[in-house]
Amino acid sequence: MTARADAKEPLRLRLVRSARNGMTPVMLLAGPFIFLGVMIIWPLIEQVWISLTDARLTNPSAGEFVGLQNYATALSGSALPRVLLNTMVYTVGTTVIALVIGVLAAVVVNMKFAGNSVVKAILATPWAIPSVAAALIWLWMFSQSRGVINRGLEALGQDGIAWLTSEPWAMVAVIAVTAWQAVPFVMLVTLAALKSVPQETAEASRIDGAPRLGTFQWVIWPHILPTVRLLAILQVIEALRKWDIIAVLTQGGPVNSTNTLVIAIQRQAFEYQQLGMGATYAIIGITIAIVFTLAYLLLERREEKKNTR
Amino acid sequence: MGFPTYWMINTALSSRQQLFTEPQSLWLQFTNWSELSRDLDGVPVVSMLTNSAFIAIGTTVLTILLSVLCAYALSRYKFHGRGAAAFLLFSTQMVPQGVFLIPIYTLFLGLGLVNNLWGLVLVNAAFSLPISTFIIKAAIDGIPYELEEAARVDNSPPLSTLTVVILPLILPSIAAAAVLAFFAGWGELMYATTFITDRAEWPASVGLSVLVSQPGVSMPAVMAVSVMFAAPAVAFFLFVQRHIVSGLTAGAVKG
Repeated sequence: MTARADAKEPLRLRLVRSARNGMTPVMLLAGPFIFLGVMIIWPLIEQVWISLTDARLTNPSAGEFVGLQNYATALSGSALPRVLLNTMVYTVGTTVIALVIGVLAAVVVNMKFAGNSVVKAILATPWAIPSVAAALIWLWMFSQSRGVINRGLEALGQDGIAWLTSEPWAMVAVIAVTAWQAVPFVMLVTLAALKSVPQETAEASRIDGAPRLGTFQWVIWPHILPTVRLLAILQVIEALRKWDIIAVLTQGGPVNSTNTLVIAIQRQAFEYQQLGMGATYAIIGITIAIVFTLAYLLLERREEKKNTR
Repeated sequence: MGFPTYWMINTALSSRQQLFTEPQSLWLQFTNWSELSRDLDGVPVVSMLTNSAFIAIGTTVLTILLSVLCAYALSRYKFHGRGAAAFLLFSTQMVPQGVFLIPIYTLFLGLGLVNNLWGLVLVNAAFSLPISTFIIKAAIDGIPYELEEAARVDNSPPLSTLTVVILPLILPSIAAAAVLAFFAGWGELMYATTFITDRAEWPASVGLSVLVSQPGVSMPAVMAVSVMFAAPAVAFFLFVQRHIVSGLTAGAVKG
């Protein structure tokens, strides 16, 4: 009897109750969160400590406590502003280019034409190519004397460019490669959003005599805007963490012109062997990431309020 | 967009002489196999790819296992600290992975996980866990409670509800999350190159980056290894592409 009465109760309520007297969510979450605790939380605490020491790669856990000295050095030097500027240029550059080309590609692939699926497959492929392999392909294409890009430029009567060893071209090059790899993801997700545009609405606006661009601007664009916004955030996160493409193409050079935050952390710690200073850079990076996350969450919340009003 | 991929194959099939003394042919050549196989001699291609596969598969299995548990708990239960748990996951997703390089290195030194592929499995799984959880949680959110209720009438324990009722319904999203985790493990370079110094343990990402920096490197050989490194991922991707998008967008793209 009781079992049947129980069954009529909405599951949500029963789950809430079972959560209150039982262990279930705790049991489910214990594994994942112990894992995250060991891999993320504990290292984070350790990191704060390391940043306050002069630990070197040769004595990773025996650094001497030096207080805020690393922070003072980092914040007063000229290296950090350059690193932050590079990170910003790289992030904004790759995000804008990937979004513009990716959305355009999605619109094109969404049209019906022969060979449509082949074009889609070709456009989607770069996403699946491992970053190291992608970077190596472009390393060869950017080669100053033998690269196919300079060969193309020379065929057009232009001078070849020292892509990877001169400013500002090194930054242009790493942005181009990163965007090349990011476009497919933007394209595929935007394409899914385009497919969900109600056909009747689009058609109705066309029959009403709206020009093609108008249909896009007034019907399609508002529909895919939330998706594009989400893609923009994902792309920013991706750009902030990207290491391999820059590491293979320029190692942060020439003269630090592609030295982004993640590149700088790795170099400080494992090239200059200054773990303490590397950890300091990392803490500064985490702080910036947290500020941006909070700003984003606040904006999101305000936007939601505006929409529900 | 397609040209660089073509150029990788083209370069792999060129001879070194063609690359350095005459302009590289725009068309594919198929006459340089012997030179290529000589250049590849001594490059541990098989062990590199096997190591990459080990990392990728380990990462995928661990990530999916943990994130299904996580996603189910976050989606179906109300409990104290749920908001905090979700926020914690969200913030680990926002922070660049590179910032954990130093403390994880010192942690692994203590645990003996430096120069150990299992260490990379743990690292990649930790960083794949949040996004994977969100994808799977969005899919579980979309399943009506009634379905579970029906299964719960006979008082089956929650874990069997999860495996019998929920899992079959969210397979596309699990596939999408699995592909993301697999790719994360397959191509990862930063942690691999910092933690793995033992040549026999190199995954393909590290092997390639070392290969290209050696003096007198053969570009066709580098590109050939790149092709072998990229091909399985590309084939896999094209094969499951449809599912990836539908799985990824199950919760995200509602317009």
